[in-house]
Amino acid sequence: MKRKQLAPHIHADQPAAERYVYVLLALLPALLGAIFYYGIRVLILAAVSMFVFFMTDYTISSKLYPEMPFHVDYSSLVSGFLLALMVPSSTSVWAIILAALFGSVLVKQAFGGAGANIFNPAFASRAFLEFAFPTQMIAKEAPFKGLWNLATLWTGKPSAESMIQPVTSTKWLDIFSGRLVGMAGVTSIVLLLFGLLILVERKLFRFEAPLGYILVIVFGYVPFYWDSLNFSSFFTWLSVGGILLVAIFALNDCTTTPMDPRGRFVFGLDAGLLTLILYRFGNSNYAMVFPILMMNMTTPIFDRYLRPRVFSKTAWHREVEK
Amino acid sequence: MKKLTFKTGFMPKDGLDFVHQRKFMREALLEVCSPREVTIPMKQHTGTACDPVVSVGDSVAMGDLIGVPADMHGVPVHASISGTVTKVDMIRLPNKVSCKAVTIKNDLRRRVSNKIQPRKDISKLSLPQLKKLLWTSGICGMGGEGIPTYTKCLRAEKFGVDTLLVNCTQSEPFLSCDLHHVRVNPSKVLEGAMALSGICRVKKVIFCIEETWTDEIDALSRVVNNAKERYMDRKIEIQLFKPRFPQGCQSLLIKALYKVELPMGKEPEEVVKAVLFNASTCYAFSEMIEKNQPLTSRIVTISGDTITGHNVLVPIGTSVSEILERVPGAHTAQRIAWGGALTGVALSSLDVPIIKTTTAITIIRKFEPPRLNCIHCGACVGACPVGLSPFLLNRLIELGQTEELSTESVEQCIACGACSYVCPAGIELSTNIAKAAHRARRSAAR
Amino acid sequence: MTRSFFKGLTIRAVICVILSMTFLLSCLWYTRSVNRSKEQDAYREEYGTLLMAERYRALNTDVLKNHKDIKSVYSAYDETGKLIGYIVDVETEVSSGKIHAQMSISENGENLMNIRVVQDDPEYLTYTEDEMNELRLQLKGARIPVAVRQDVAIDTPYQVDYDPLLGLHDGTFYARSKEAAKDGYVDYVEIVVKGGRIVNCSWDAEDESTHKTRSEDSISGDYKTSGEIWAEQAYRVAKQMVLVQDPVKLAMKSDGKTEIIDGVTMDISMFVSLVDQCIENSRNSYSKEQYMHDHSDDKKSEGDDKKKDNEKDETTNENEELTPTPAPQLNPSQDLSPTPMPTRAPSQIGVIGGEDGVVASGDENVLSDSVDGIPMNEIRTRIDGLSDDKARSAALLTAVNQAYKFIREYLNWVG
Repeated sequence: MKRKQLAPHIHADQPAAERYVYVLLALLPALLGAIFYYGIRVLILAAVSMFVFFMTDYTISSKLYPEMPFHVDYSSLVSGFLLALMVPSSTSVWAIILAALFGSVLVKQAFGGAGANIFNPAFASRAFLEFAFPTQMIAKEAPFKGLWNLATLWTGKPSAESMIQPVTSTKWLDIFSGRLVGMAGVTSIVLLLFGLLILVERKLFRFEAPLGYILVIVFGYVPFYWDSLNFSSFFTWLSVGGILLVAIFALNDCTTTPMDPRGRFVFGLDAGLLTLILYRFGNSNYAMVFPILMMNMTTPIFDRYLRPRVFSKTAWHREVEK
Repeated sequence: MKKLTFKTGFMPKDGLDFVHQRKFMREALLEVCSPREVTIPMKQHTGTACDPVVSVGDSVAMGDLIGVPADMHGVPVHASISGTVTKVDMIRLPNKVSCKAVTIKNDLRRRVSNKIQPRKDISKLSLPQLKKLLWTSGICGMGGEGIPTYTKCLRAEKFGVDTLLVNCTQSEPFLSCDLHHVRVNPSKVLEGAMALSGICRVKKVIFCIEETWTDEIDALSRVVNNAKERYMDRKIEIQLFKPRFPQGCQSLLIKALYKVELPMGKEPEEVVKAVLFNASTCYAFSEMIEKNQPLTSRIVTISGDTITGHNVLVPIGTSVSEILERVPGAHTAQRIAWGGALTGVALSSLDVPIIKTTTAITIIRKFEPPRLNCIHCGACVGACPVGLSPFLLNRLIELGQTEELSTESVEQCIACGACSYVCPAGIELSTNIAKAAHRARRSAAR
Repeated sequence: MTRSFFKGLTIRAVICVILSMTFLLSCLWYTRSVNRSKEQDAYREEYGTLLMAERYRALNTDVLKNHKDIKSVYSAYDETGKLIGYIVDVETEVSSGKIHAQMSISENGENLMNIRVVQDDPEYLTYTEDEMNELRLQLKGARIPVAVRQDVAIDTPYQVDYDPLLGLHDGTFYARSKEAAKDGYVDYVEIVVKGGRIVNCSWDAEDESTHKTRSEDSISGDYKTSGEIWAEQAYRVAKQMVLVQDPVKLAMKSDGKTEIIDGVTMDISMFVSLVDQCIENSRNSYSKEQYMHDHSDDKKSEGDDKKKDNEKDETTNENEELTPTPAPQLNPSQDLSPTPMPTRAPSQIGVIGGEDGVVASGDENVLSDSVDGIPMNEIRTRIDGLSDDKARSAALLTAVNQAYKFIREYLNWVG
């Protein structure tokens, strides 16, 4: 049957699929850095994670939601990619597969498929790994140390010699280029900023939430770490702690952040505060993903109460009608 | 000069950008269309339909009256070509208006009604004479809404407006029919506007134009400077706007200009003491004053995504298929819209006449919007010029929750198409919501 | 997704990959170069007084495994990348204590350029500034290896675990093979007996045509053996001989090889037979002078079989019933009891000191000793050392000689 031809007859460029592909491209520098520092393993992890995410999403949504127009979901690719960047390089394939299944089935499809998920699937999967495979989730490997150690894909244990971090005399360059012990793809500040550039260039970056987040992180760092204020440790924290990845990619995800710019800003502020509190007083292993998941839960509330003013009405329409 | 605009809405990109549109405007070609046959509907405006005063077999000349309005809320209809009346029957227009229509076969003799001749004593016309001319000219709002200009003037008089706005901004990308008049005949537009200002007894005339149209602004400012000496009692201004869609819409233009949002059901005459006329309307009225020529033809923009667009001077009632015969590539188009690209109605049959409010024919060769699920991005909320939440309204319409719809102020929708245009998932929000808004307005009126 | 989208995506992806890889590689390159220049700065600070060079490179060769005393070795290069020398860090133990010394050696491995002693650890031997200056004055530019001039036989530090053979007389004893071995060298052995013990032993051979010693040739690389160079192996055999006192205890197998001495893989049957001969000479108090005297004229009448036969009659011991074999390598049958070869009188001996152009002086010391495992005839320079403390001078020289041994082997291995 021919579809009814409805106005408008033109459309803005950049449909959702292209947006997700560009987000993937924005994540590419971080992945390249991870491969550069930790070897081809990271690429294998990313491929497996993306494949599992994509296929599970496709299978389930075509069975569970046949009325949906489109089952090829590019956001699953983004989730898979993001997940692979947020785990240590020595993570086993099994852990990744389980986490991707968890994220796809329970976090995404159970809530209604793409666009209807409450939690960011990649971050929920990462949280799942934190609980299910806590020993594998501690980054131990130093860059360039286990480049060809493919055995970790099965064992999940880095070799002993790869955990020795070499002493280098270029501290600041190491911090900015991400040559630090940390999750595979989150450490490089500069590469993540390359990704940011791509997002900004494609007008895919919604700055409000990241702005709030970074503001709280920067200004909150001073009182929270008053005893050990230090520029290099701040930037190390920014990269190793995954702050930048969260700011650029998690808070820019449109499904799980509020629609209203004001809401996004407050969302970012809250997430930043939670992150600081968890890093300072809580378990720092949880401080990267859990603030985001906690704030994801509040997104519907933001969407409910923070709305644009309807034309010719003084405040939000509900009050005016009476 | 400060450039004004409003905050929401959207800026079209790439193939639709304003620079591109301006280039198209420079290359615009005004074709005089001489159709074999015209079908003139009796209701081309907002208001009551006319009654046909000719019958089958009658011979009519261009400018002859063929339809008279039943009451004050209609406009008379004139023959747009000379020929023989072959048919008088009911017709259904794409904008869901059903009315009688008179079909005239062109005799190609170009006979002109004897009433149409240059007027010698233009400056001596008194106010009642002008009003009478306006009534007989059959002019209605040519920007798309189609309110009879005479009615508008009466309303303006009633509210005692002090400003007359000439809308030279276009409400859709691709359109340039109003701007064509501004560029080619700025003095006529000005004269028409001044005559209308006299009828409405306003002290100030403001031309609203977007800043990117530099040629048109130059032409306009030239004639405005000349006119300032002749019309000492009235202030004439040109107000520039930043390009943004859908700015040509009346309420949004008022918002940009006066920072006032028109309440539902209120007119700008009442709220801001201003009356808004389209540039094409002003031009048509100046024709009436100078030559006693009623509204029998209009300029239609033929545009689309790939063809070279141009403006065509079309007798009212010409069928779309006849116009498109001369347009290369039109027959292979995926869809052809009767109206602009954002709000036009896609035609299932090309046997549809051009009426007084038809601004454009849009030829879309390829249109493949994405088909995805809503990704909750909020782009529609950001784009909606009246501050609705289109994704939510669409969901409510799907679920059939009518009461919720009214609490979400669905009746405010101006059907601009911005939400559908920006939606990255390609969801057809605009049409659904516009329909629901129409229903809500109707039920509220009852 | 349209073609223009893929075009844009491809362009951005390529830019993105190029940008990222450029960034990563330049970071890596910069980090490496900074680390390297810092390393060079550290080297220059540490070794600049020994040898100022543009670039130092730590050597990491398998040769180092054979030299436990060598802590580290660096090759030094000038601005043009030319090798200008080596820096050797030696930590060795001598009889008078432990010593830690660093020295620079010229690129051909022949001259000592500078030396200093690391004295930050009280366990190690220390030298005052004046002492160091004096030693340095003597050592700078000296060809290595080096020995202290009056350094005759070093008192053996070996503990007396093995009983000496009975009936030995004190003195220096000498034996020489009667004819050249297959490779054209004539082997000779010299032992020194003191207090009834063999305190020193040395083994070498002389090419009849070129009059070069086999140890010399092995050092210069003209004489090739499997494993260690010949001079080193010979030294080890001789050292082991001094330790065990009895050639039988060298546990020579029937193929002429032994497994009890580290690093010795060559046939030692000739050595064993000559040592046996020397021991017999000692028992008979047939000293070296006498031996030389007896054989001095043999040189002019080489191949005098009668003389040889006489000699044989005089010198053979109780094992004389065994078949004499002219070529010791082919010695067929003595598998259970390695017995000295019945040797004929060394008849082709010449005047060693005079013939050996390399050995500078002190012919009374020639072949009488070895310093730090280096045969005396290899010693290139003799210095006076510290006048009041020979032992500490010798300790420093030991370090130098250890370095020399390493460099010798390394250069051999390289070239």
